[in-house]
Amino acid sequence: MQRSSEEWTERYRPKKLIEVVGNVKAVEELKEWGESIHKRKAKKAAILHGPPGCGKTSAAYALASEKGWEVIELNASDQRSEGVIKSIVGPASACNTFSRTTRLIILDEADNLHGNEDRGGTRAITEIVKSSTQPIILIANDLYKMGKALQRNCMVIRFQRIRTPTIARVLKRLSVLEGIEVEEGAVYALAENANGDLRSAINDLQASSISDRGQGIVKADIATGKRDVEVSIFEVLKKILGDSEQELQEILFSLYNLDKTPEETISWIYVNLPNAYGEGEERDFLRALHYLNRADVFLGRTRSRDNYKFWRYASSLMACAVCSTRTESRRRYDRYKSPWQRARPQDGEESKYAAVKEEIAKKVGTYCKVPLQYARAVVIPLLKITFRNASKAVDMVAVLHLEAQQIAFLISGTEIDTKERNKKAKQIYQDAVAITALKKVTDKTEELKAVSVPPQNREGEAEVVQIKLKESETAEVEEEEKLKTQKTFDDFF
Amino acid sequence: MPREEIWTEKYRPKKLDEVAGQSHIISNIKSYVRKKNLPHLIFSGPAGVGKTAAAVAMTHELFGDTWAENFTELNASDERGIEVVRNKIKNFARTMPTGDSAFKIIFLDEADALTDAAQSALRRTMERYSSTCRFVLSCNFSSKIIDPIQSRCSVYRFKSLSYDALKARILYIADKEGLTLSEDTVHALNYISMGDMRRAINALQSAAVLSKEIKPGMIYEITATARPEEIEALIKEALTGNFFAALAMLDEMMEKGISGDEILAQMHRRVINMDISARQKVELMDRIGEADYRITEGANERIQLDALIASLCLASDERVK
Repeated sequence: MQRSSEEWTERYRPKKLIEVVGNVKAVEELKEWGESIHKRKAKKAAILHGPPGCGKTSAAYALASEKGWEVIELNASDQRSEGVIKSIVGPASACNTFSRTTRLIILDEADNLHGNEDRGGTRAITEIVKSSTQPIILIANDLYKMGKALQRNCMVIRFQRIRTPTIARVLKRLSVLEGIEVEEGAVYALAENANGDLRSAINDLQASSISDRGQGIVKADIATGKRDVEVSIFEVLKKILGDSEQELQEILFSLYNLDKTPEETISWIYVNLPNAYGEGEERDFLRALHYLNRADVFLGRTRSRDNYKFWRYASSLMACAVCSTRTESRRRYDRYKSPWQRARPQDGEESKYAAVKEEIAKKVGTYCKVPLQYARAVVIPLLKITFRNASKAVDMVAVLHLEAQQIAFLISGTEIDTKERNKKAKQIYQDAVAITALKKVTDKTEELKAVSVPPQNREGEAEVVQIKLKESETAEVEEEEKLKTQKTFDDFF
Repeated sequence: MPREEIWTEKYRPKKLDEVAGQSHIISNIKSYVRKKNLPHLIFSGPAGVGKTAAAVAMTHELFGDTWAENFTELNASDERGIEVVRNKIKNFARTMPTGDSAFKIIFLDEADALTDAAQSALRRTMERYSSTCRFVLSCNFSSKIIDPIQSRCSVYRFKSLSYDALKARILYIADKEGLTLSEDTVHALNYISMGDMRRAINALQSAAVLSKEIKPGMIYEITATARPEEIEALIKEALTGNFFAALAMLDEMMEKGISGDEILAQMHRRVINMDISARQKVELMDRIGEADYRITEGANERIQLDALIASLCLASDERVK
């Protein structure tokens, strides 16, 4: 046996691309990129993005070792401000005169460059990616958090969750290599627990092998947290919504022992509430909704006052909302919905939009000399309307010096397709740049001032042009919107 | 050795067997100790249920005399930025363990207070130094820990302590300190602790200053808590419409120095197992919460409490009709 304290995920990291499990297409793309980087015009950088534990880092290292490249890695545990990145990556990427070997630069967690500490990091990376003669791989969970400019200069390769049978196969192979006994059912339980995350599956296997008491790993031993949590939320829901007579005290107790914040729990209760009521129970449903609403009010108070004592009221109100309103015997539902099955913003998307909006507000605030709050609440919505008209948008962009991403934010809602929207934003951006280059923008000042207090007709005018421009698309949007409302309506009753 | 120590530290378990409750988790941790190896761990659960105790006891059993050199504890809520991860944690993680142990342990208390930025900086550190270092993260809710870290850890959910678990530990400490206490006192400690061992031990230590024989009344007095019976009587009087009787009881409690805040919290606790309909319970809890909120926001404590009691009296009228 080898030294036992090493993590298996490190010990069995693939040495060759062929050993990387799952994601055949992504690995193939990566390999092709690896072949092509010495050609002129080829993109020198690749972005590997996807959920945790699906083999991004492993694939990058495997490529390097297959090609015999040296690796320089920078991850989020290193400081990555502009200076640091340039001093480390800069020389490595720009001069290869001393050594003939290629150096691969791996920037792990590239979507996590942070505020003050990593000031200028994103820009530095973009610049280096553009000028580098050496290959660079950026690894990220969330493609959204990476700048558009950066994405344009990179080959983007998407990794996906690994399928449960594939994970099970890997686990079986590892258990043979490590000489441990694992029951067939236990392998599948571990693989399923992992939910597409091979690393956590391997970690769980190793953890179970450590806690193994000599009789091999059996299914009953697989007691890892995540699964527990999922199971217990269903049990709690059954208590709250189900038909068995439950003592309130009992329900509340199980709620306290749940590994979920009250915010999460209330979402679970909320999405499953309509199904707990049958025909003729609308009044009870309404009453339950009332108390759920009160629970939510207390959650809001907890947040806004940062005072956690209000959690207890929220918890007990949400726990008792349903059982307190029951008059008839209950309908029984065993299959509960997850609140995240509905449209859930992609990870980071919301925060990304908030950040973009803030940037715009700052620019508007400076330009129109209004407070940020006013810019956020009044001017930005107006800009959004104005931006339906492409040519007006161009003018605005020229005076406000907005960037493509910010434009994309302002025209969101009129386009369904992200790609389409980004394309359009880019077009507006380029037109605006052209205008700025052509003439001074002083004559446009008038127009923007008008925006902060808009005349009625402008809005109408924009509307008309917009309709002309995008008749078909708007129709589509409306159709979609109608469909959405319908859906929520149905879900409700 | 100082003559008086804080008991929560003095009686912090040195062995895993001494950790109260959580038997399933402890038995898993024991086998980690037997094999002298462990994965990264997340301990999630409410305060005072043994997360730190389990981590410290585990370290003691693993490292013996060299435990202090191979263990560090950081409270993430004090220093929650990314700087901590990049400097402090990394520096501890990268040095070799001393003695014959294969790794060191970093205990990150209240890890859910770490910013997302700091958490994501942590994940590669965990992986890179896994040959020399193990992380134990404690938090109230594991969902506050970002997925990539959860993916690197085994998650254990600590449950709030049962009465028996609390009783056993309290009696052990009482024995060591030469205190006598009755079953009623243990009940009182259990009531005021709400499953939080730390709170129970602190109350016991404060009471022990007064006398070697601990009575339930002392526990309530020291923690400025009303007796559960008093609270129940108050609600009952109010619900039967005896407004002035209820008010007199309220006066009495407040004269003892029990805050309105505390009275409301206890009323809320008591309502749930009172002998009234579920609908009434929920409505009551809502009103209590509302009064609590208003007082916190600066409303007059007495007016809010009196109004609450009055509304309970009115509720009783409606019930009769």
